[in-house]
Amino acid sequence: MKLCTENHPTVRVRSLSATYNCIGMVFANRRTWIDPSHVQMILDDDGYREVDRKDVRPGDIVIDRDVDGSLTHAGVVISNEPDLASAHWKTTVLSQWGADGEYFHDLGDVNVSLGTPDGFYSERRP
Amino acid sequence: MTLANLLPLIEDCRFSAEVNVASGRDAFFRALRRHPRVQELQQLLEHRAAAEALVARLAEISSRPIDPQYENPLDSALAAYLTALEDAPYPDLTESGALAISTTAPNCWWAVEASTRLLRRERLRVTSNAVGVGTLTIRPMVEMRAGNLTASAAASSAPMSGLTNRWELPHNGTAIAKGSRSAGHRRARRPTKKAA
Repeated sequence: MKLCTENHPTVRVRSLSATYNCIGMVFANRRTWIDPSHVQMILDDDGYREVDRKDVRPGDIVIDRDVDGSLTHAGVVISNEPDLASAHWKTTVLSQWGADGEYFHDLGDVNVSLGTPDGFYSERRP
Repeated sequence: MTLANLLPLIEDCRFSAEVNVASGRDAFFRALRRHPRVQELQQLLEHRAAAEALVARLAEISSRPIDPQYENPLDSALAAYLTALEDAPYPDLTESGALAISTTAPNCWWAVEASTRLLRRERLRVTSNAVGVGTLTIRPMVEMRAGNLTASAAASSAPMSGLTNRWELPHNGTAIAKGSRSAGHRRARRPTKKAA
């Protein structure tokens, strides 16, 4: 935890369990590790659709990818509010960082190994 | 930095925390290869003596007793050593290291992933080179003798003295893969408690 908070001072820890990874947190009720290579299949099977940033609601999912396009990380959106001062969205995410614990953090404020945000997905029905 | 100075840094819990932030196999091994300590190690392995010392160290720590309730605290370090050896031009030493992990290291995940991949690749290489023999009929054997390794492993802080084991790669890899989970449910049985 100390290592994560040193490099990302604004993150807040929720849990330090290593039983699951980020994908297991999002899709498997924090019970197991799931390899990121299976995420696209899960999204397709469960009827997830991509949503625009402005339409993101708490409970939706954010997917991160590496520079080569491979899926590296996933988290659950906790809040998504417009920041009028900066004319941007302020999005807070809850995600598990490998075996290093589960953190509340700003969108994109994650370890470099976890990639950068690439899209939001939701299973909500319009 | 010398090998003797570098190895304790890789075996430290900080290194483990830094690379274990990765969420999957590909990301983990990418993080390993990008890590400055592993890159330093790869540079040192340009010399065969250093690679031999590293294999000796790997064999020594992979057989270290651990608390079976917890994951092996040296899992990441073992995976890092094997990854560095994989990128070095000594396939015989790489295979020795992989065999040491697959046969002796308890409660490892990443290290076993790396060693299984290497051993399967080696088996394919050997069988494809066989003449007039069907697949899976040749089992590569590797012999690690203490004399060969400890003579050049003087730099290691814990030379592999007395190790005369002889390992044999199983026919179908089941022994190596034993205990591993399907890719879709990895670490389902990973211990929940972290070692202090």
